[in-house]
Amino acid sequence: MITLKNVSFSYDEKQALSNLSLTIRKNDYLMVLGRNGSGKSTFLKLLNGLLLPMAGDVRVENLSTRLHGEEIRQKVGMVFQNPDDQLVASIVREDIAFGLENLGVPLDEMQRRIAAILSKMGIAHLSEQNVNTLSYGQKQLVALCGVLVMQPSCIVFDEPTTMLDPLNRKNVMDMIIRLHTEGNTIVHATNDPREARRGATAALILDRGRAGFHGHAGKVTPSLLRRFGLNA
Amino acid sequence: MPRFIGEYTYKDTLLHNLAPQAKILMVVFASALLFLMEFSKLAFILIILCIAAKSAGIAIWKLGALIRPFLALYAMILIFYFIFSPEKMAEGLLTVFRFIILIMVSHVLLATTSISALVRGFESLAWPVKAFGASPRTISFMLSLTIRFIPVLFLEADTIHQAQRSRCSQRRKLRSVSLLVASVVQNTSARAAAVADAVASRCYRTKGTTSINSCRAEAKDWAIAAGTLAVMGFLLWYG
Repeated sequence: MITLKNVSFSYDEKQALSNLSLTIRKNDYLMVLGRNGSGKSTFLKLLNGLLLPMAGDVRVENLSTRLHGEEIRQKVGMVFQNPDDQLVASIVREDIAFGLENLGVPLDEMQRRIAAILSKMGIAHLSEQNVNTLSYGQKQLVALCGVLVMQPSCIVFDEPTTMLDPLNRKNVMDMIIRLHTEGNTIVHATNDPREARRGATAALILDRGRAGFHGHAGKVTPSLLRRFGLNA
Repeated sequence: MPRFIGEYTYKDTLLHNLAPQAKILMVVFASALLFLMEFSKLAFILIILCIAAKSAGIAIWKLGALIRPFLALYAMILIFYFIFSPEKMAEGLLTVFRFIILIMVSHVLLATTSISALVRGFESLAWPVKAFGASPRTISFMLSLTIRFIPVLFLEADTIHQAQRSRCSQRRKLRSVSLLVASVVQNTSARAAAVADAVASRCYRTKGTTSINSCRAEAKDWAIAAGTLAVMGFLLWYG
């Protein structure tokens, strides 16, 4: 579904990713591990065309991110670490509608999809709430709704549980696993290997912008994690 | 400010259901007319405003309560009149009365119109900016983002301030204020970059879009706005 071929990216002088090549297949659950500054966020942003590779090519369903940015952002949704940065409207219902408005979805269809996604996530009662009054856990679910309502086939999560308490962390993780079992492709960057290991089918460990390990999630052992300076 | 902005609650009333652009234009023109009116006519407008507020489910005492937060402003106006032209104190009182009604009109507008509907209203009235190459959707989106993030920035400033205090920084010292401002500015620019990514990842564009909030003003909306302004105009010239 997503192919990276010899991808490199740098911020000014600092090399963030070097010569990375891998394939994410349809319905994979790829956990992306790595220490701070290892290139996880850069890798994720390359997947939906928020960043374009300086060398190499990123293709989503055979479309290059260089040429089909908007089309790709419909296919690859992204949930960020801090939900406060992702919610752009003041009212929950209006925030979820934001992506659909941009895609030009007709009003009836928009209302139907929003009602369905709110009900699926169990937050229909928050529909008319001001987003500033929500807890972090609720905000993260609203942010997820805003992405899912656009019906992407792949969802990229950039450390989505970092700012949450244990209960909300579990809720969001349950939802990610449920989305995977429903047939979505998941890419999940995290600092906590235990968290993603629950549902992951594949793993990528980034180390100073390079793929230190890429393979089956079951092969991620404590000793492997320690080798890359990660908490086992 | 939150006292005004946060007070909107939806009710099924004529004023709540009036198109926002009609309400915005009505308030703009009515505010201009208010400054041409004398005491007796303003008193008549106040009665009409109270009836309108009551019909929209706004308690009259809430309108009265709006006088208090601006008492200092009114006192200042009256003091200036007293110092510079004591013979025109009646005019000073008239100015204060106009301000009070203006604030009440704004309150009725904000209490019957959600922020997002107001933004949409501005968007549909901002079509002339297209002539200068600007996009009404971008302008309204920027407005909406500003409104969304004002409380977040206040919260952030408060957190930084508390962090400073926990390390024995004194609030009034110029250095701690400048550090607070620098931290807020730094965090704001980092946040702006993150928001830009989030907006782009949700396919933001200015053309070919639709809207969840239908904001079409119908003939009845314009008729109500025009009727209200006509009554005010009639009162001004023939009353």
